Amino acid sequence: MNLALLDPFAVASDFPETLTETLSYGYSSAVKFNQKGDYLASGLGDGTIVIIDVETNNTIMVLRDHVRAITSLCWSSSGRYLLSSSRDWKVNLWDLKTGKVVRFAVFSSPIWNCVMIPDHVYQFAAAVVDDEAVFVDMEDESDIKITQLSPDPVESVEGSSEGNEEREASVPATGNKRKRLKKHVTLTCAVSIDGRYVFAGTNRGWVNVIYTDTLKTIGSLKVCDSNIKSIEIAPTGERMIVNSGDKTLRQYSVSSDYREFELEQKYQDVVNKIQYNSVKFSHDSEYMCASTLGSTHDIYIWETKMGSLVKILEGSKEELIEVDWNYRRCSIVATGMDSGMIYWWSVVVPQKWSNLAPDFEEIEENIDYEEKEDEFDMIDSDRDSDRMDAKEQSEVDVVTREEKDARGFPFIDSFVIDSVLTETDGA
Amino acid sequence: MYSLALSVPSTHTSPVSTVKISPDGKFLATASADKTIKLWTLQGKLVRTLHGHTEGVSDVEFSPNSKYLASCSDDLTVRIWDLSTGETIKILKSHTYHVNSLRFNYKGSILITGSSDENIRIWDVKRGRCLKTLSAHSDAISCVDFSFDASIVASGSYDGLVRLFDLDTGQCLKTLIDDTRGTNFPVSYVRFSPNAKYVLSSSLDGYLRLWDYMNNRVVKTYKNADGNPVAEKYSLGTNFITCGGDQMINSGDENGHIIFWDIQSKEIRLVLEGSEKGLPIMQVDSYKGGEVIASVSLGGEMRVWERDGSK
Repeated sequence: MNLALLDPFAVASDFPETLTETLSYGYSSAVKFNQKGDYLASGLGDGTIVIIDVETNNTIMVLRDHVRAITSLCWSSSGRYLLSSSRDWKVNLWDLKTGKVVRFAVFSSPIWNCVMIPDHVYQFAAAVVDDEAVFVDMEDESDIKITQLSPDPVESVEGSSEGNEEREASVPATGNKRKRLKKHVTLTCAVSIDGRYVFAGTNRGWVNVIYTDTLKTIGSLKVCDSNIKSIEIAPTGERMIVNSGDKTLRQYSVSSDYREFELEQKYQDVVNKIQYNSVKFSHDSEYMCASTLGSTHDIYIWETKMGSLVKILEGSKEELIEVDWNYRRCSIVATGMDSGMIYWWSVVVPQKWSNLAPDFEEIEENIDYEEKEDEFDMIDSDRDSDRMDAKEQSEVDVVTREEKDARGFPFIDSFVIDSVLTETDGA
Repeated sequence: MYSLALSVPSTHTSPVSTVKISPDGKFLATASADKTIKLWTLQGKLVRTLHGHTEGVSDVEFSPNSKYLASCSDDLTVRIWDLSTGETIKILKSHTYHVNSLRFNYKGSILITGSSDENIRIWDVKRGRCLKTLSAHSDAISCVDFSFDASIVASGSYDGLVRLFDLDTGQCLKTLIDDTRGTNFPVSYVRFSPNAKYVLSSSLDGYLRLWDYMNNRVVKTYKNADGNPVAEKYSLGTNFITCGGDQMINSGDENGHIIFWDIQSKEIRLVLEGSEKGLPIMQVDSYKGGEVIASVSLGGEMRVWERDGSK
């Protein structure tokens, strides 16, 4: 509700500009906002997960079970469940009502990342180190179904590769000896917005599109020759960014049936040759931001239509790893590599001084004031109350809420984590 | 429209300031100048008396999960009570004069307090620490309220202004002043409408005003019958009654009446007697949009009313 009263230019900003906060609670290795943007989950290097209340910047809940660094976090759309993967070979599903693990799955090696299937709290896909990617259904606690997903690409999907030469070379021909030596391994997973397809990126530059109903690869996209580091799907579902080891971000437009991919933009810094650590789209996929490997300590924001760099977020004194974008509050957070701190960029709204005195007005330049005809007229009180009555005829509705806030996001009811006051932190 | 379900004579030894119904609809809490808070079942059974404040208690508020109660007092402190044990679990100190009003956000994580030291403070309840101080008023704060999404804080002050603040930044978003009459009487109570598009303010000139704050306009003025003021001396609590398809404004007056106005026509639809002695009705609190209402008079007479089918 507050947005409607704030400076419209500040509210309409597409991305934050100012480093406003740093949060320090252990070494943070993964950060993720819930859908409403009122809680931030931060996974720590020691396996602890803390839930931070964005309004107070206080830890509202501490989740302890993992014993190695958290590699990824994923909120359910209701905000009640949190999926976490860790280097301790485990994926946990937490119920934030109780703060307990409700389901878990154990694998044979550390987990690169996991993604919850939207609207299916108990289903997830995960990329496992040195093993095949998995699709897991944990609905039945006593019978957790783990299906391995083949990392081998199938016939490449339309408009995929960057050149014919590459496309020919990348067809998994049986006679090619060199290809046989190096087997495909899935390094990262992503899921489509509707939850029907899983995207799996391999060490040899392929993205496999897997249909979640059949768990079969329906198409593969050759992106490059080096490993795929991460895949980011835009909240609108129409765009995808593939971050690969060849120091390039490739932006694809995705067809609604997930069978056609068209390369829209390539982002690379040819001079500095920077690798990108983590990528995130804005809510309307008009912008995207990325953290960079190495000596630059900044976050780059590009406009995605033309591929132009529009903003560099500065202020951190170390390399930034994980980024997440809080759409409703228009802020970006990133974790620092050395300190594990969380850096927080937001929009700073200027105080309008005329809000403090309603009879004052902020004007651009001096004007000659012209007195209104009735400005100092005496109004006798009887007539005044008649006039007031006449003015107050309009119907008022005190119950029906606005559907959307001033940024265009609908008001949603998200799960509220019960605040417990009698326990100390983590007890 | 309402039938009397419960009437409890005063058990407090000094004037009573407020009554609140817990969000789960099971308990009532009354606060008094006798430094105590009493916790009741909705059936009128005294559960426990909370001792701790060293001066009179001005306002209480249940946490949204009904597990805790916050209270503010003339002893400059705010206390948070665990209702299962009756113990004080937090004492919030920072205000330098009487604390008059307080409110939780819908999550129960933030508490706002308004004080006679002219400041509004925003507290992180869990840490028991003051996050922000909003100092924009030039007289005692009589009342504070949250919008439903807890993004705006409304405050009413004896300086005659209603101000709206942004919770996040602490900036003043709006100032509402009724200058049609030339003078500004102290604002004694403010309340957001359920959809937070309007603010209802009570002034000590005896009127209630419904503000369309986006347009800086009073859209409705509610008056007591026969030209009497609603309130001239006390901060009397107001409510929006929204159950059963009705939209009504509800407040006590200083002569023992509980008045219900039709929100659109501004006519008085119903008057209930809240006090045998005609004492001011300090607070009327509603549950489920007015299915149940509880009232308390300055003398401590507590009454609970239930909505029935009759018109």
